[in-house]
Amino acid sequence: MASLLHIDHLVGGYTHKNVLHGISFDVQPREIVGLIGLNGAGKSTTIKHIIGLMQEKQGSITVHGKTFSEDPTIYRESMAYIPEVPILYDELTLYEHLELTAMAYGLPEDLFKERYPVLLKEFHMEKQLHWFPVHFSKGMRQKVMIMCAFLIQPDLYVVDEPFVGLDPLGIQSYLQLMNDMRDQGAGILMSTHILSTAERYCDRFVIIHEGKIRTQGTLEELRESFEMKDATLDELYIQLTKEDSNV
Amino acid sequence: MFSAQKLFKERIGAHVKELSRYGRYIFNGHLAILLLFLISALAVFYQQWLAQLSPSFPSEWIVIGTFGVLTVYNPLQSLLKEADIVFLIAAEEKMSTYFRNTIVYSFIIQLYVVILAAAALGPLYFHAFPHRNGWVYIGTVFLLIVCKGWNLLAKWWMYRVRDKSLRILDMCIRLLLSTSVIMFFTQEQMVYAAIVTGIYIALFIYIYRFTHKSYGIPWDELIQQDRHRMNSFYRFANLFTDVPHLKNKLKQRKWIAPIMRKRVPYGQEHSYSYVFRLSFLRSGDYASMYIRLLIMGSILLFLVPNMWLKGIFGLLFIYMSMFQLMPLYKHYRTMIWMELYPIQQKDKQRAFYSLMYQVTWLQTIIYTLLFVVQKLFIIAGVFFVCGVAFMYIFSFAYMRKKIT
Repeated sequence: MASLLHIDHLVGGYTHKNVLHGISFDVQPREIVGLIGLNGAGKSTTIKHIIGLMQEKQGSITVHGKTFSEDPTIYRESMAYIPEVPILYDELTLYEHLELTAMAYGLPEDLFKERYPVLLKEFHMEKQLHWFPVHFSKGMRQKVMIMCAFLIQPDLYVVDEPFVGLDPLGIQSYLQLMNDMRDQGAGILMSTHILSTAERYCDRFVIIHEGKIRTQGTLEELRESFEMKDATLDELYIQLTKEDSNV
Repeated sequence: MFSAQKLFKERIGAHVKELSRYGRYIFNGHLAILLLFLISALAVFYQQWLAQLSPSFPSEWIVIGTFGVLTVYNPLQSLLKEADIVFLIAAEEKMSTYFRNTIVYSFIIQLYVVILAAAALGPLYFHAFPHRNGWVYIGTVFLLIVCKGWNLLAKWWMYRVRDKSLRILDMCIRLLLSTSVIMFFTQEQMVYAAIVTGIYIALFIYIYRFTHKSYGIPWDELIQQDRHRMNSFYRFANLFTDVPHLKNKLKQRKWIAPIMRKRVPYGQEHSYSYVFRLSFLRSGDYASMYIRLLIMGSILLFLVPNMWLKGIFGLLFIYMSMFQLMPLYKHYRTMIWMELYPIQQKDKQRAFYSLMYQVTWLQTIIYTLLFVVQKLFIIAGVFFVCGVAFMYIFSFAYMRKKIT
């Protein structure tokens, strides 16, 4: 089966300085991949490369086998991005955000009308439908981002730290929807620091450290490679950084 | 060691620098020349209007009323910053020098309003009192300045009172008293003028006693007012140049916005039309500025006596609206979603052009109709053709370069 997202020896970063030094990993349909790493490890840079906001210096990124430059429109249509810090139009209400997103991603109108009330209910935002972002709390803003992503139901979700600011119900709804989407065939790449949650929901993990991939695999595989039976992801991660400081 | 004097010097330095930075843009811009043109045209009409003014025209009362209002119009620039409420509030006692200096600064800055008003109303004054010595008028202006100073102080004291209705009452009384002083002085009824001045001084003493009982300085309010004032300056400067940190006030437009939104058909290629329309209506001042220009232009189209000049003014206002709407295209330059949407850039440009054409067509048609109403049929036709031609020439010659 062809990879949904395929990253091959990606070297990238900002003009003067490389942040990523040859990263390779895949996201397949029907899996949730956790992108784990400390602050500054290169998670957000990797994500910026994936969504096509940064130009790779070496290596390649393909979605459905196609790079961004081959067909930007198809490339972007295939993925939804949920940023770490919610980015909203000050001038648009919640409803207008949803409608604009649906329009921009070419979602048929009847499908939009069918999907958005379900999402509103799920995230308890029915009352806020005609509010402006200035009146939203941090968590509500994050919910708008999540709803927009789940509204278009793309093949690939790229999610940067989804849990910060969400209330427990919101987190639950988000995780539930993510699982549903996976079961329907989507692939999800999720960067997070909340390792205990990642441990329960992710099928595989990619651990980035200082711009390189330290290790990747299922929790079982990670445990084996560290020879730490029954260890939690937290413990594995701490072990990993300890090894690093010993080198 | 905290020095209020030093703080004031820093703040005033930064403030003046900021003003002059944008002042340069304002006085260099070609719009400034247009404004100058406008003002001189208005001055000529003013003169013509004065010449045919009947002796029964209440010009005396216009002068008195305007001066009276000016005495209580005293915006206070405290030059405070938002963080001050955290860091400086503890030093309120030591800040008295600072506040004294800001009051003096606000007073001096306001003198330009006095000079402008005195110059503009001078001819009216001498229309009412053609045989008076010029010194009497200068004396009146001096009285205005003194009253302004008193009122500024009283206003500063009244800031300590948080009760809005009390403040309004205070302002009304002061307006009444200072207008009466100016009125009696103008009518050369010096005894009455002296009596009212006496009452006035008593009021000031009372206000001072009343406000200094226990109240503290309302930092939050001063900061907010300063921000509003700076924002209106930035908005003005924004007419001439791009002011990056202009925090736009959002306007909900409960009725018109949903109607305009629903007129955009649903579909991927219309996404940018959707955003542009809503931003035009709600964000900052695009729509309100357009309406302002539309109305100002309409009024001038009636007032200006020469019909060719009317046409030129009409075109001028079409140009100004188009020029002022240009920044809308870059309104979302920091917006990541615009880059992520699977839509081609040329759809964005197309959406922008279509909005631009729509509002300009509307303006051109309204102005043309105004000519028709005035029965200037030939100029209406000429204007319509010129307006449409101008719109397309402007968009091809200027806009195209700016937005690609």
